[in-house]
Amino acid sequence: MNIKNLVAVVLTIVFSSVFTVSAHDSHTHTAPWKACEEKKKSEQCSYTNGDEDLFKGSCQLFSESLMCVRNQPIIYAEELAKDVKKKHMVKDTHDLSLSH
Amino acid sequence: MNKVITFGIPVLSILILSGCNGSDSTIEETTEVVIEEIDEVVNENYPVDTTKFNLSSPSEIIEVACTLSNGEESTCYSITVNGFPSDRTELGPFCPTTNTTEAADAGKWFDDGVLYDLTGEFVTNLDIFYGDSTWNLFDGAGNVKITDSQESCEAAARPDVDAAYNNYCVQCEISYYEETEGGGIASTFLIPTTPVPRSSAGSVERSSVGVAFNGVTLDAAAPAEAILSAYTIAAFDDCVGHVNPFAGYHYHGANHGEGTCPSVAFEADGHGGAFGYAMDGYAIHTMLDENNEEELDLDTCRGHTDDSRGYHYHSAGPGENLFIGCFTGETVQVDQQGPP
Repeated sequence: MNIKNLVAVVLTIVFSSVFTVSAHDSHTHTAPWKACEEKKKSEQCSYTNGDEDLFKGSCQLFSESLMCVRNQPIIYAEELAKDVKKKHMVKDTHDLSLSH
Repeated sequence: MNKVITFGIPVLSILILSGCNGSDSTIEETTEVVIEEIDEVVNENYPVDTTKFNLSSPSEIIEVACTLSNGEESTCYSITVNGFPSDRTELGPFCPTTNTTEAADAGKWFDDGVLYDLTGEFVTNLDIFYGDSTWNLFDGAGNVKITDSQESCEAAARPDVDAAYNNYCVQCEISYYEETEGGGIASTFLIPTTPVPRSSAGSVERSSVGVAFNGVTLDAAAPAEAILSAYTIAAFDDCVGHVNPFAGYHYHGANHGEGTCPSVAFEADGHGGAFGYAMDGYAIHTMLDENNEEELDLDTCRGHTDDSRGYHYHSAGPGENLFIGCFTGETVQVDQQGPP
């Protein structure tokens, strides 16, 4: 991998995380509000809560503040973990087949 | 049809990086702006069915003239409720009493989308939960400090919490406010007799979202940050309801069928059952269907349309501090609606 590709990968990771507000460290009760702090009404938003479940929706106005209102099913942490595990398993299988 | 369509528009940075072998690779980062449009199909705006209400006495539903938020003259149902849920005989439990109180004897608290049992253990660990060692709701004997009088409840439930009640579990009794025996604070709601679609979604703001069939107000989001910044917990019961001096008993979420909270029957086709009407006259249904699944085509207000029910909303989860995201239909002009 050359330096340009490396930069591309790093930027992809950084930008993909910018738009998801994380509340992993502690329970704040503010994740749905923080998810819309830098956004306009009706913009898409997402946040994870203290249990690392993922909520995706759009910013809507409540009491003069924007709050992320989910309109897609909650993606529970165990489902996310399963997806990651599945991807790793696919990758491992792929690596295994390449090594033979 | 009152349908909300969303379009994704790339509006943010486009980074173009040159890849190897002389080819270009493009990394495109987009934030999607949702544009809401509403199509007019009248027969999907089903009239409000007042027979679904089962209100405690004294209460009444009458048809009156009203002016909608778009200035249009219309007819509305004036729904007066007595402030006590018709499907229950008592409220609570709310705050746990000691550090060993189990879930069955305690209420609920929510945080970032999750509804928690407000057990003695949960309260014991609030400092860890919120990462702040100031939290300590116990007296020296292992009892939870609870507002146990009208005076203390009102001092702790107001927006600027009396500092004397920092680190209290706040609980107000409906008996402080009952206007009739077994009742609560009466409220009147004006809801269009038939929903009128808006050209763009209306904000919920701080007003009531709607009214449940059992006569309880579906309130706007609870001011959780103000509550927590005073190191108080405004305990809910299993229905995510609690009492305050202004609205009496009201809901901040929908949690039917758990603990002391009555369930809502699914519809004949397995769809989530309706439990109330939003202020724009569209019905609000439970979040999940009989297979414990959510609808996949909800618009930004959390509504969708089907042949059996026309346009209707589905409530958010019990821990999300909201019911719906916005109003797809016209509500009644604010000056006609009573105080929140």
